[in-house]
Parts: sequence; structure tokens; C-alpha cells
Amino acid sequence: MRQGFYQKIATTGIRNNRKMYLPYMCITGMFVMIYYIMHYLSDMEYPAGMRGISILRTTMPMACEIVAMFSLIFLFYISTFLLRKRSREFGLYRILGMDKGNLCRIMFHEQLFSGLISIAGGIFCGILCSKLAEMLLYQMFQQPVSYAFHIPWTAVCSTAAIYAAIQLVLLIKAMWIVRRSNPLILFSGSRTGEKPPKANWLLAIAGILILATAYYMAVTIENPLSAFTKFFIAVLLVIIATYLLFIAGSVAFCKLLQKNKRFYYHQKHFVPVSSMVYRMKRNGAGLASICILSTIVLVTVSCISCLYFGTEKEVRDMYPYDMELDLIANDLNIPEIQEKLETQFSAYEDQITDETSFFSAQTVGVIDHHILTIPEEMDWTLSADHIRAIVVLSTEDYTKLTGEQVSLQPQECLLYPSGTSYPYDTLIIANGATYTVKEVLQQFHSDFSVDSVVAVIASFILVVPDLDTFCAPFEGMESRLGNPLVPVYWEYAFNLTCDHNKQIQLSAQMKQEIEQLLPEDTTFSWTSYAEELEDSQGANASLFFIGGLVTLVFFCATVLIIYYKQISEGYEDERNFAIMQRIGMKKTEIHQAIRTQMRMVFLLPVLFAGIHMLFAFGFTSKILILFGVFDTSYMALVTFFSFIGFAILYTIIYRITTESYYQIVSAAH
Amino acid sequence: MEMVSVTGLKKTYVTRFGGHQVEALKNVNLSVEQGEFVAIMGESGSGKTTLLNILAALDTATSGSVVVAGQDLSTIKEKYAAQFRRNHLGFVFQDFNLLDTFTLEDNIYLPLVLNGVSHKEMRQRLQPIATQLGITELLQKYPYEVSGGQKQRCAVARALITNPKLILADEPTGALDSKASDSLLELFHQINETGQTILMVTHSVLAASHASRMLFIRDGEVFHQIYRGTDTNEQFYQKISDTLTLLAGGKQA
Ligand SMILES: Nc1ncnc2c1ncn2[C@@H]1O[C@H](COP(=O)(O)OP(=O)(O)OP(=O)(O)O)[C@@H](O)[C@H]1O
Ligand SMILES: [Mg+2]
Repeated sequence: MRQGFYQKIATTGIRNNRKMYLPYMCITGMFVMIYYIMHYLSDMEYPAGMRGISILRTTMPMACEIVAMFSLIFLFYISTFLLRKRSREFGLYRILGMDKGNLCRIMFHEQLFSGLISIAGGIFCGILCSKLAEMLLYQMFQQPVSYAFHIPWTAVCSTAAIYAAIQLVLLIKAMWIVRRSNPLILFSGSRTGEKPPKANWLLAIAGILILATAYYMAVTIENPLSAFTKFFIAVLLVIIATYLLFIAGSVAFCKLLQKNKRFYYHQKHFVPVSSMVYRMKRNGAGLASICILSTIVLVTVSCISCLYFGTEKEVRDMYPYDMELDLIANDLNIPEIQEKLETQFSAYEDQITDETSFFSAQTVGVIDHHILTIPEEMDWTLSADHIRAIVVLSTEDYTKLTGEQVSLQPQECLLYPSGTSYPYDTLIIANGATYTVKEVLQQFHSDFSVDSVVAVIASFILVVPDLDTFCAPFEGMESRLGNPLVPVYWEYAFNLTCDHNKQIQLSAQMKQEIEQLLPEDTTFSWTSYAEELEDSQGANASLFFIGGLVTLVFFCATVLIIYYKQISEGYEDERNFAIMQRIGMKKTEIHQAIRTQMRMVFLLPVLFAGIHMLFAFGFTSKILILFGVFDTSYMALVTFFSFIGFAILYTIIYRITTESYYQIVSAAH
Repeated sequence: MEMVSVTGLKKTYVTRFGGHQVEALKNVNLSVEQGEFVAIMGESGSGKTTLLNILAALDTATSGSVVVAGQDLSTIKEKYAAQFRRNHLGFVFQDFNLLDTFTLEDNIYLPLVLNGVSHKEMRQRLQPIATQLGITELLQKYPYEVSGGQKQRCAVARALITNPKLILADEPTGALDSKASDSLLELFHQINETGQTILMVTHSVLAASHASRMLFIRDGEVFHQIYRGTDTNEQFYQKISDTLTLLAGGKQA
């Protein structure tokens, strides 16, 4: 009987606050659903034909953890927010004679009720949608879909367990809040006005300085490999600065506007500016969270889209030929090998086209003005300004690759600086030859693919009259890995006329033949464009898929915060607008004032997210180079469209939630 | 000159569910001359607030004609209604209705800002009013920092600053103690002396005794009225009390 009483109070408590609790339960269910689907996909058995799925299998558990972690933090934040909103209600219960124990029991039943519904609902929807997600995944991998439906109990159980644990944490927090609730709150009430916020200039200025520092750090990062920690610090600083600016900076800015009498006492500015001060004080943290979540969503979406939609081009950039053999030629008799290969592959004569081969020496050096040292042991802690990837070609191969004729004197060279410049007219190789730079090339058009790492650090491509002369001084020297210090690569490549599946088959066959034909224990690399493409497509599809799910979680969270902001604003403004109408404000003026404020308040986070993304672009684009996306303008385009897409979506959500705001506000008159 | 002229005013509310109708005002006839101080009394639910809302063009009459300061309110458009309120009317409410987000000064400026008055002129206008109301020291404070009486004086200042022809007050002393209500009523009296017309709804006989005329509303109709004539406040108070007793008795009979 008594038990039933608490249950009843708990359910009516939720029902009376359904405008608040329904979205909260929905989002919990949504998180449960996504977590379940991710778990389901990472536990699944995939057919061997799905190349690149391993990325999904290795990354998914990590993504699961991120989602669980985020759910905890976010739900914690939201449930605290909801309970604070209900403090008057709890005060009333206390006055009506309930003690803290009674309130805790009500809380327990509420949490049990909402938790059970959202977890059960989430898992149910998860089970329904998991098959859909699976089919989508197979579709992305262009694999036939199986229609067998199954429910893995491990996924169900672990999802339920994780979210039950989260609910438990929330319950503890709820009980703690309720225990501290004070019946006096009823009398102090939120109505009687809160103190006007004071501008905290110190924090505001700190925010600006920290943001400037962070931006400066992000922009000046050159080598993403060695600067990962630096970037991480920059990200942290941006987060801190965003919070400072939204919480303190915004209030300070409004105060500044208020000081300007002519601006402040103006029909259009008076009401928006003054209520903005309060709004920003109350919502600064929430808006900063929206801003940071939006930035995360934006950066992830743009990076993943870059990878996914550009897969074919990326792979083609890295592997210009359908088949490619790379050897370190220093100790090999290449002409003999080439002859053998050509005889061997004459069997495929009717399919092979564009056959080519060339030599290039590739190493890493340290540049000091015009002196280039090739150290036996590279010191990677050196500033990126001094490290150069070096690629050396002979004039003969240069002509073969680019189609351009050059003739060089023995001591002359051409130099193409990539990602850097070269202002000197001589180049001295320490312990080696000295060259006069005949021309600094502005462009280097060729199918010749630079290694991805080379693309990250600045590089020199040298064209010299004779490759052997260049290498001679380093003959016999070895790097730490046991390779020649200046390895000369021989690349033998050709295209094929058959389709990709046939190419993958041929690749395996040819690889065996090459193995047999080369001297024993020769290391070589044999790559097939078709294979690499399928691998990358698979990997990128996996990333795209996981990223999509995680982004969905973040995005829903953003939406929910916006919704709550609007609702609580609505309740707070309801009274004020009724007063203003009596004083003689037109309805249109009121709506105008509301719109101005809302637009400023809600566009601020996206605006900042956009700026954050802009400053992160330098870094993300360099990271993407590591993944093989070389085309910066393509990246910029994708990033731009991601932002536009996001802004449109955000505006739509803003519009919809604004509707519910108007409903509340206009209910007043 | 006639400030308010109401003939055959009827207001019917249709409740949201079931179409049940509430007749808040049945047939109100009322005329207020410029410079009058009229008190309106009546039981709870008799339609006093409804009447004020209609006079302020916040609500529209179901039928009948309403002319305030020469403006026919039955045909006025929402757009002009707001402007009309701003230019010709001053409002004082029972619960002050100050905006918490503004200082008292800014609260008082609000109607002027809406009219696009310059900051310099606003200051000039506020100064004498603030001195008269004794709130000069309080202007930089926020509503939560001052007492009920001080808030109400500030609300009065807001009503006066536009120099309105008609001041509408809905139970202005309802939230005040007797001392604060006394000084507010004294203030209304002074304002009235300078020629402003005041229409005040009240439940308090004491408050009503400051007026020059008392209207009694019952069941949506003006049921009775008493003129002060040359009575002192005390005499008028006695008159009103007697009438109320009589009316209450008459109702029971
Ligand atoms: N918006 C509305 N919708 C429906 N009925 C209303 C509405 N406003 C007022 N009423 C009804 O009209 C009648 C008169 O209300 P009004 O507020 O004018 O009374 P009042 O004289 O001001 O009372 P009080 O002294 O308690 O303030 C009441 O019966 C009330 O229920
Ligand atoms: Mg009333």
C-alpha cells in the first residue's frame, strides 16, 4: 500500500514535468540504442570478403567506451539540471511533511521508472535498428546482405549493465540533491529576482588570451607527428577559453554595451541587451558546451567525409599505377632482374599497359642554410624547419617521369622544394658533392608518388646528372634499421586493362612469381592499386560508420541542450513579456526583441565552433595527409560544406525548439 | 472634457473546454471627466480587472462602445493599441510588475526608450518625478534590493514619466502595509491635483476614500456610485463604509 503511494507520486512527478522528462528519457533511450548497435556490430562475424572491416572491429570497442563515458557525463549534467528546476516542488513536499527519507524513496522510484523505460525502450529499438545498421554497413562494403536476424545476448546484457550502472550514479546524485533541498526555497523562490551578474573582467581577459594562445599554437604546428601533445594542449586550452568567454566574456561584453548610453537606450537594444546579461550568466556554460560539442561534430564529420568521399582519389594519388614493385636496388643487379621480369610477365602481355621503371634515392637530411647533412642517426627532436625528406632522381628518369627535357653539367642540379623554399644557388652535401642549383623548380608534374610521410615534412626533390655519383660517398653506410643510409629504390610499375577483381587475383599470382624470380631474402614491396583501394574503402567505410554513430550521439546531445535552454528561457521570460506588453510594447516589438536575443544567444556557439574549426584546419589537414588525402583545396571544400550542412541542421533545430518557446511565452497573454 | 466614456459594454469569455460562457461584464456604462480620481470597488470576480484591461486596449469588448482620451478602442488595431497605451496611459499594478533584469532607473525609462526619447531628455524628465516620489537614492538599485513600497513608487514613476492623460491602477495598495499605502495614496492625490485623471481599482475602503468618486461594480454592472462632494477623507470613508454595509445587507435580503 505505502509502496504504491511512492510509486504514484513518482509517476505523477514525471508526468507533471513531462516537457522536461520526456526528451530526457528519449535521449537516454537513444544512447542505449546506439551503444547496443555498436556493441552488436563489433561482436559480429564478418565474411572474409569484407576488406578493411578489421578497422571497424578494432575501433568499435573504443568508440563504445567513448559513447558510454559521454553518456555518463551528459546524463549526469542533464539530470542535475532537471532536479534543480524542481527544487520548488521538493520544497513543497518538505513543507507538506515529508522527510528526506521519503523524498529519497520517491527519487528511487522515479529513477527506477524512467531508467527501466529508457533502457528497455533503447534496447528494443536497438534490436530493431541493429539489423538496419548491419545492412547499411554491408551496403557500404558492397557485400550481399544476409537476412538472418539474431539477438546476441552478450550485447544486450552488457548494454543493460552499463546503463543500469549509469542510472545508479544518477540516482545517488539525485538523492544527494534531494537531501540538501531546503523547504525555505519556496519562500525565497526564483521569482524574486536574482542578483544582476557582475562582469568578471579578469576571467574575460584570461579567456581572450588563452584562446589567442591556443589558436597560435594550433596554427604554428608544422609536424603533426611530433606535435600531437602540443595539439592536445591547444584543444584543452580552446575548451577552457570557450567556457571562460561564454561565461565571463559575454557578460563583460554586455556590460560594456550597457555603458554606452547612446547604444543601450535605443528601442532595438534596450530590452535584448539587458536580458542578455542574465541569459549569458545562466546559460554561458550550456552554450559553451553546445559550442564544444558542435566543434567536435564538425571536425569529425569533415575529416571523415574527406576520407570517405575522397577514397578513390587518395588511393590513386598514392598508387599511380595499377601494379607497383619497389626494391632497394643498392645491392642488386637490376638490369638482370628487369629482363627476367619482362620475360616472366610477357604471359600477361595483352593486359599490361604503360609499363615503366625508374630509380630514385630516398633519405632524410638536416638542412642548415645551404648545407645538407645526411646523418647516420636522425635526431627527430630537431625543429621541423631543419628536417628535409630528400628524393634524388637522375635527369634521365626525370625526363621519363615528367616528359621535360633537361641537360645538366656534372656539378649542376635542379631542386624542387615542397612545403618549403630554397633561396640559395648552391647546395653542399656534407661529405658529398657540391652542386650549383641551376634552377629551383616551381612545379613538379609527374605520376611519381611521394611517400605520405614525406608529404608531411618539407622535402627536396633533387635532379642530378648521375645518381651513382650522388650516392657514392655513402656507399656501404647503414642506417640504424640496417638499411643502406641512402637507399636507391627501383620502381617497376604498369597498368592493367582488366577489372579490379581480376587485378586482385593477378596480384597474388604475380607476387608469387616475383618472389621466385628474385634472389633469396630480397625484401620488396608489391602493391596492387585495386587491393589498396578495397582496403581503404573498407577502412574508410568503417571509420565513416563509427564516426557517424558517435557524431549522432554528440549531435543529439547538442539538440537536447538547445531544447532545454529554450524551454527554461521560455518559462523565465513568460512574465517579463506580459509586463512589457502592458507598458505598451507591441507584440511585433516583443517578438523582435525575443528573436534578436535568441539569434544572438544560439548563433554564438555555431559561430565559435566555425572559428575553432577554421583554426584547427591547419592541423587536421596535416593529419589527413597521413591518411593519404593530399588535396588541401578539396579538404577545405569538404570542411566548408560540412559547416554549411551543420549550420542548416542547427538552424532547423533552433527553429523547431523556438516554436515550443513561443508556445510558452505566448501562453502568458 | 470626457476622458473615459463607456456605453453598453459587454464582455463574454468563452472557456476553452465545452464552450461554457462567462459573462464578466454585462452592461457597463461609465463616464469619467478629465481630472477626476475615481475608485472602483466590487467583489472578487465582479469584472474590475476585465474593465481596466478593456480600457487599456489589452482586451477587446464583446459589444458596446469604449472611448478613451478621444480614441475609439473598439476599432483600434493591435499595432496602434500598443502605441496608444504607451502615449496616453500609465499602469500601476498590485504586484508592481517591475522587470528584474533592469535597475529601477531603467525600469522607469522603459516606456520612453520604446518611444525613442534621447537619454538626455529621459534624465531630465525623471529628475523631478524621482524627487517627488523620494526615490532618487534608489535609482541604481535592482527591484530585488528594495522594499514593496519602494517598488510601488518606482512603478508609479514609470507610469508617470510619459505624462499620460489617464492612470489606471489595479489594486495598487494590495501588497503594501498601511504606512506605504498611505503615502502612495497621498501621492495619487497630489498627482490628481496637478490635473491627471486616475482610475483605481481597490478592495480597501481607506484607499477608496481618497478618491473624488466611488463606483461599485457587481455582477458585471455599475451598481452604485457615490460622489465625495465637499466631504473630508474621513467623512467620505464613513459614507463608503455605510454604503457597503447597506449593499451587503441588501444582497442578503
Ligand atoms: N481570460 C479569461 N477567460 C475566462 N474567464 C475569465 C478570464 N478573465 C476573467 N475571467 C472571468 O471573468 C470574471 C471577472 O474577472 P476579473 O478578473 O475581472 O475579476 P476582478 O473583479 O478583477 O476580481 P478580483 O477582485 O479577484 O481581482 C471572473 O468570473 C473570471 O473568472
Ligand atoms: Mg482583479
